[in-house]
Amino acid sequence: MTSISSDLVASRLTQTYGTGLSATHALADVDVTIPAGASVAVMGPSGSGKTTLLHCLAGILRPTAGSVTWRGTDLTTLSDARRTVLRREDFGFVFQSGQLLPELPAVENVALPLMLAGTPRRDACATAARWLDHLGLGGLQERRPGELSGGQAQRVAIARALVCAPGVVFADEPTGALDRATGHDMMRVLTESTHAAGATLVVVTHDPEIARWCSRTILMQDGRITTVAATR
Amino acid sequence: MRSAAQLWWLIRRRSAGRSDPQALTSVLAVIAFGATTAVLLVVLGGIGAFDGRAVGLPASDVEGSYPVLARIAAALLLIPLVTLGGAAARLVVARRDARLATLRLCGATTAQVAVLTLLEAGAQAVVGGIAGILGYAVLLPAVAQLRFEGRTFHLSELWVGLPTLLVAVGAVTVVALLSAASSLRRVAITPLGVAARVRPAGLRAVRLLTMLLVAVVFGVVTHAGVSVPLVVVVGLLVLGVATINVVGPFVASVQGRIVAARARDVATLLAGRRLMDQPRTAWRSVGGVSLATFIAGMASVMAVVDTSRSGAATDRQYLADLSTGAMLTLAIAGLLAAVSTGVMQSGRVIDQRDEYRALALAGTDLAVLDRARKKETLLPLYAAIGTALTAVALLLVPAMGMTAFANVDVAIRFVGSVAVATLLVVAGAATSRSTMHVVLRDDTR
Repeated sequence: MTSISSDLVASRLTQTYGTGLSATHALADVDVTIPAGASVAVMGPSGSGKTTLLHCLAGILRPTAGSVTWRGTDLTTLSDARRTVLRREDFGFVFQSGQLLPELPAVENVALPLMLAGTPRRDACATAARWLDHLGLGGLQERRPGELSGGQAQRVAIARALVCAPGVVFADEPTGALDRATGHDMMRVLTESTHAAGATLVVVTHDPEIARWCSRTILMQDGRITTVAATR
Repeated sequence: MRSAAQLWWLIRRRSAGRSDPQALTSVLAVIAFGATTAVLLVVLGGIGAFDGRAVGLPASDVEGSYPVLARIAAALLLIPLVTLGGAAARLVVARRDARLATLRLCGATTAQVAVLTLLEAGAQAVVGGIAGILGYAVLLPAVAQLRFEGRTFHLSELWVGLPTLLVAVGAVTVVALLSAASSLRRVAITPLGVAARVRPAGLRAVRLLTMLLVAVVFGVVTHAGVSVPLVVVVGLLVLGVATINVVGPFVASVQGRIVAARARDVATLLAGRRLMDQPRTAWRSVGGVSLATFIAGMASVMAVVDTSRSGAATDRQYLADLSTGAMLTLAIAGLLAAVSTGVMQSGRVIDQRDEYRALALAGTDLAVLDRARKKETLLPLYAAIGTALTAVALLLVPAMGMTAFANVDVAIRFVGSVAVATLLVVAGAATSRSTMHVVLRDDTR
């Protein structure tokens, strides 16, 4: 009996925007393997293809060519609907901003993915409340996003990303809107809680200080990976 | 002022492409301003036509009363008209947050940012107003086919003339500017963005008393046994309609609270929370249906009066015209409600595009987002119909008696009218589906 690998593997990944002379290669023949349970920072200058790589790995974008394999399935061959289900069930997301619904209190924002997956509201909210407790937001469950600080809102987003026990958490510039101290605190919470949950973490960031929280760093330039190095 | 105007012109010239939500809001706002102007001109044209036919006739005469009735219909339509104009203006302010914050960061003063926004709203209102004039011209031949006093209209009867065209565009522009200014007043645009949204203040139950008060006064006046001028009775009825708009948002907020507390799925939870959070906005988008329901009640009662009378031909003609007029007002109110709903729902989708995108990227089915959007329309719609039915029960039933509604024809006519108005609003809301798909199109491919 062979076990299916939980490594996230991209091979010969190419993403091209436009055609002919105006074609731009956001990704050019990218090969990368992200081992299960690893935490990886993707770094590089603006326009180097970091976010495009994250979107392809997460099944948000279908690449122009190449494959992304996750638990034995090539994401690029899946329909939009199947990729949507996969993102909901296997992946968690943390973005820089604009991810929490302003009308919902923190606990319901976190419970949302569980309810979408069919968990009854009462159970979903109970699980969400435990996650918020775990991330130090015990007394703030009923607060709306507009009543939370930036750091607190990002903790809520982390809880929401982890509440469905995903295999991979993707974070795109998660500290971009935070001050330095809050950003580091947020990265500590993100890496520790993702590790504790046994999930893989892929973080896109400009900041080398933020990248140090991850176990390895991928450097990108002009749509290609130039360096893969252990960080710690 | 001058620098703000120059800045506005610069930004206008450099506006983004058609798929940009900013461009979408502009198109929607112009459509809404256009619809407002066109309907306003049709209504004014109708008043002018009846005025022309009644020249020399005393107001007490049956034919002489048509201008008064036309003005009553216009007064009833004033609320949805102003609501639609206001919705369009709010749309202009929507999604301008980031741009306005950037301008503040670059050194623009609050006053300059305000002038910029008002210029934008004013310009779109003028463009929409011109489009509305064209719409009015297109509608005229169809409106002229309506029969009142036993004959159709000549186009010249319905033509309002150049000065009124200009006044109508001016009035729509003024409504746009006032609404945009009021929207701006509610957001503090700082260089670091717009002040965060916090828990909104709740609405008070005391609003319920307004409708009750009007109902009591109306009951006393109509049952006092003395002759009361028609204008007083009609004035009280118009006041009754106005109270629907005072009571409605409170009913919607209570409904949102109940729905949110009992929601079992994400779509219902989102719809309930949004209704609870912004009951006034939700009400504004469907408030026209409450008016349509109320008018349907009056029109249905007139149908009963029609069948119960066997008087002179002029009387029958008068009652038939009253019924046609009521149905026409109902149709216009329904259409205005449909456009309002479409515009407001689209504006809301554009306003919350970041949240919609984040949900879609995280694996939320479009079907779930669609269901939430539909429920956001349907829930306040139920509140609108319920509130209007209550108003009908409180105002019309005591005056006309239950026999009117016990008549099968009346019941069918009433339910049919409300159903058509409801369907129009649901159709209006459906247009925001394409807005949501445009907003999400570039992210998941």
